[in-house]
Amino acid sequence: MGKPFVKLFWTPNAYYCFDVNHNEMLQIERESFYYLQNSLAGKSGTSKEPEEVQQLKEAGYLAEESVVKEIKHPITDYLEDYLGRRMLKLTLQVTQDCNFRCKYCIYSEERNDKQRTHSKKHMNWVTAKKAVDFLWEHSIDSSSVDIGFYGGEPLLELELIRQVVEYSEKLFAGKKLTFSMTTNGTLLTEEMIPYLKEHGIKLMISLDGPKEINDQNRVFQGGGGTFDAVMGKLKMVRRVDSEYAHELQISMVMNPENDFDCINEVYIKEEQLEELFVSAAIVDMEYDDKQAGSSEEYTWKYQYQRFLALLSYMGRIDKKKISPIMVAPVIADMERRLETAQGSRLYAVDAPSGPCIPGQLRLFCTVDGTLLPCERVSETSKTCYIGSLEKGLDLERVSEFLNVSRITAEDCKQCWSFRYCTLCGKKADGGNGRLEAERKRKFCSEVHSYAASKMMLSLLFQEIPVYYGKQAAVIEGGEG
Amino acid sequence: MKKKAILYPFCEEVLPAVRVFDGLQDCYEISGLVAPSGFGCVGMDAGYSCNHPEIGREVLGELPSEEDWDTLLLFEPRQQTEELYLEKYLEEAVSRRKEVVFLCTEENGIPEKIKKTVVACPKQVRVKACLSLPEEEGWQPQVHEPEIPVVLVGGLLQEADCGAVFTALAERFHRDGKRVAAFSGHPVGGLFGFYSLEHIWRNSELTEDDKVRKINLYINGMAEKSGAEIILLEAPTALMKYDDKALNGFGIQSYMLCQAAPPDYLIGCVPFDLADARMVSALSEDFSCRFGCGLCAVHVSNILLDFADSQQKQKIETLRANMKFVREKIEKEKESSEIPMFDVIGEGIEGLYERINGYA
Ligand code: SF4
Repeated sequence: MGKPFVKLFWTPNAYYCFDVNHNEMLQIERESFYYLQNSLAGKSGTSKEPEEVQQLKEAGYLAEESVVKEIKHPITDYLEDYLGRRMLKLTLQVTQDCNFRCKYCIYSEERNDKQRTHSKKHMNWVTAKKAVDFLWEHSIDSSSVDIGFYGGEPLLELELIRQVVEYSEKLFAGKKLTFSMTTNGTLLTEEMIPYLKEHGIKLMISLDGPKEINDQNRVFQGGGGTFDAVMGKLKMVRRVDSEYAHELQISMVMNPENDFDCINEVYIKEEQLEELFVSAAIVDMEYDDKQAGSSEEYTWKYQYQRFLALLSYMGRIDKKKISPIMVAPVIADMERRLETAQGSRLYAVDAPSGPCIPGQLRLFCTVDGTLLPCERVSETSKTCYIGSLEKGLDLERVSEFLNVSRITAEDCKQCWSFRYCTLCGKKADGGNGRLEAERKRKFCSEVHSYAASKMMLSLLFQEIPVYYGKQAAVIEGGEG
Repeated sequence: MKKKAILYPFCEEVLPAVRVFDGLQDCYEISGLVAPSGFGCVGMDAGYSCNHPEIGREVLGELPSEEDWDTLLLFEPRQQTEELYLEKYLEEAVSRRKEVVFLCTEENGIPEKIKKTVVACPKQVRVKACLSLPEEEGWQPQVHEPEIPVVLVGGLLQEADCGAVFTALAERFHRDGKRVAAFSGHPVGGLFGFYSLEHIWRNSELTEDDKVRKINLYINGMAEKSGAEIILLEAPTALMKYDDKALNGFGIQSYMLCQAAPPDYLIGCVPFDLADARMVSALSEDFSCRFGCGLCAVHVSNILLDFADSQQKQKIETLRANMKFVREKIEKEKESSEIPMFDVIGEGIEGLYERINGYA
């Protein structure tokens, strides 16, 4: 037997073979597992093919070749319709200015030459109106749309935001319209709260952990730490309108060089942060050509907290004792676990999962009306440019970005993580005006470990009722 | 002389009614279609709401000047959940001394404000519900299969132009001088003399068995009373589960409807990306077991499921693709498909109508 297109897994209880073409996890005998392991290592000639392996081959499994012959995202042909009729979100960069100067900020002067830096540029009403009209013209089939305010610090442009809100509410009358804003929160005033609530503007406030960690990086223009100011504003919001305060979300950028327990502590100890939804991301160093490194200790602690969150998901531990940082990723993991079981097989014309439809899900409009796939990509790199308010969307560029895996087509066709890939065009943007295969390949190992951990999680939950039935009964309260 | 009517709120759901408006009733002629701005079609041809060919009528954002119309036809779309501003238009029409007709499937569930205005201005504002008949008047007490042919129009997705095919067929039968008892859940249906089964579907006191029984009695009663030669049914929900995310009510109501009135002709409305000869034939086999009737014909729709967004929101989210994909698909599949495929929107109802007439 040659090398089958499979990935092998084992747990303390059983052996598994993930058939990539079928996107199916098969439980197999120990003997088959080792046979396949040898085959993958090119040593299968030494032993006899187990009966189970023969049966699986007869049933169409364990093929040696990927069925994928061409990389093409399934919606490529319908891009014009998706972007012309079903745009879902527009994020407006209302200003490039900010009252903070966070040290890791992708816009900071010291960071890199592949992203813009802070500036005094702000969006004017003519551009903002044009952008809202653009969303209206491209969303007839969307049952709801969202308009996001982004900066710099968007609250520096509150008057423009008010104008946009008023205009959009009229323009989208009859359609579900929501607003969101990513802010550092320090410019919030008591007077703003009733307005924000009345118009349903959801705030995502940035905070990176306890004072000693937050203030290392998140500093005012003048240099002082920002933790106390942010906490003061959160307290104020709670005092003015506790119901609205409850809806606030916290956006946290974690630097894995810090101690995880210490980062986590703030969410457990600080009353102002109690029960708020926390969205955590690792500090973005992609445009610096660096990856954020984490200590072994950080990884242990992170995994331990993840384990506790899983137990809580299963009802074994009180949710209040769980790190709020872990709640969202664990819920997402659990939901994706179901996707693992339900995802479709591979097709002759197919594309790795990963890229969203550039411009449909979160079109980003810069201060001067340039259109980008989302707010996370480089604003100066030509690679990410997908159009402008003036010229409209450049569908060829969108298609190229959507089909980023064409630049690594041969690798992708042979990749066991095909259905679980998370890489989009941003990962292939080296700032040179074109999508770069070598740059993208650097992230593949990350995808593989993510996919493997997702599958192990899926296996764990599959095995619970089989091998840990007694303990599961305790989970459901059956035995006490 | 026909009264000049404004239809509000114009949306994708009401486009089929607009297409056949003159063919199915004599009271009104459409003088304007008005929609809330957020529906995204103001200033466009009405066909744009479904990415369909133009119908030569631009959607307006406000009521036109007074001399251009006599009546405001108001209704609540089935799928709309946001504010519709019905009251604003009702008040405006009343203050301009215009007639207002509120169209609905049944008189229960009319918005409070409309009810009050009907009471306050009975000469000016009235309600037109789909036709219904009190139980004791015309119903035979026994459940029995309809004695005249039953045509059922249903879709893999309800949005796959089921309403358009249904109304086009109703109009075509009518044009041919055939008496049709047509049953649809569309609020505008009352205007065309359609019947509605909504009062039975929504009656939470009835068991499922009771509902099937009552639907049978109601359909037979209406067909007999109107002297119909054909029963035309629009499936209340999609024919079956679409996938594990888009559950479509598992097609349970369609199944119940087929138990109550087994179809002789089943017209399936299928999104173009699924309209493959093999797929259609597999569906037909499935429907034969499920509903006791395979597919007589297929209408290919330009509807497309937004899979990612449907997954995210846990509800069906769709978009309308360019009609060229429908044409290309039919062209590619028509030779190999045992079940004829039609594009009722692009090419009209004639082909499908002939197929029904020639279907053994
Ligand atoms: S991980 Fe790399 S090789 Fe695999 S599908 Fe994604 S981009 Fe392609």
